[in-house]
Amino acid sequence: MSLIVRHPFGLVKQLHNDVNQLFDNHLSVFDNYDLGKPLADINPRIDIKEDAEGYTLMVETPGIKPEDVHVTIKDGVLSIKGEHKQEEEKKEENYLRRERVFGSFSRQFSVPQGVTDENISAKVNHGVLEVRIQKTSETESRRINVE
Amino acid sequence: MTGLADIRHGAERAWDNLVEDWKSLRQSAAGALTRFKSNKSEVGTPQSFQLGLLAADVKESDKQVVVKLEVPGMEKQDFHLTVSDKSLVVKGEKHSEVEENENGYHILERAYGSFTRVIPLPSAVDEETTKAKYDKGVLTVTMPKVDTQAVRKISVDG
Repeated sequence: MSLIVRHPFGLVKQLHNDVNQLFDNHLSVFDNYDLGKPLADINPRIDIKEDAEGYTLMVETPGIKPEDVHVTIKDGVLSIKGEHKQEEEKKEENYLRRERVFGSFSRQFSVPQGVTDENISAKVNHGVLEVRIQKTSETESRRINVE
Repeated sequence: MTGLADIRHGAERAWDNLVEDWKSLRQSAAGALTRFKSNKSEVGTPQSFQLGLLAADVKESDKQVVVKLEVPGMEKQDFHLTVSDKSLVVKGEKHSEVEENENGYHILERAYGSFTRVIPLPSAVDEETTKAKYDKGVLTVTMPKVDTQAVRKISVDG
């Protein structure tokens, strides 16, 4: 193998071309996604706590109606989706400050094996969604007797 | 050379975009960033604090000013509201067992403790008839404007 010394910037140009080619030819997988669009409009803050009987997820969802929050479980993935809907605007009112964000959010969590929808309950209180996941006998690590 | 120039150009553009985004984020959300002071204070250690986002909308009509503030997870008796010098002061305390014991928490993103948020108002309002409601984690404060127009209307005779 021989080492060919090119113009110093040749290497950078080569890299540039390679990266371009990579995006053009090999990353067509991104074509299905709108990369300019953020994945979610809002990113709710979450606390997750574990105790002996199960897990509690506390999700901050201020202003979101309980019927606009959807909690589902499929293939071991707990999915929380919601939409913060804009209120109707009155014409005679004028906004001086707008910090609240409206739109949708989605967060997913993998749950321990054996958890089904029967082990999950959810309620909303003062703008906080509380999802409770009960541990099942399968969830707990089995102790293997050493003989 | 075009490759390098392109990279430089691309990087500059990315940087400019980042700066612009950061500016607009600061403009829209800097006011919402609120300090939560932990109530757990030990002698000799500085009081710890967290930052939480308390997003507010302020709407104005001819007759009133309405402030909506997102403060999820509060009890209504833990709010302390005052109106002074063309601003609404919202003080509150968000209690949680987290403050006692952080054991068992895998993720802790929410902020707890006491906070103060001062929201400037466009005009003088009547504190006496101000109403506040706490629903779905959103505090709505409706403040009727003080009729300052009446003072200015002085008729000149002759």
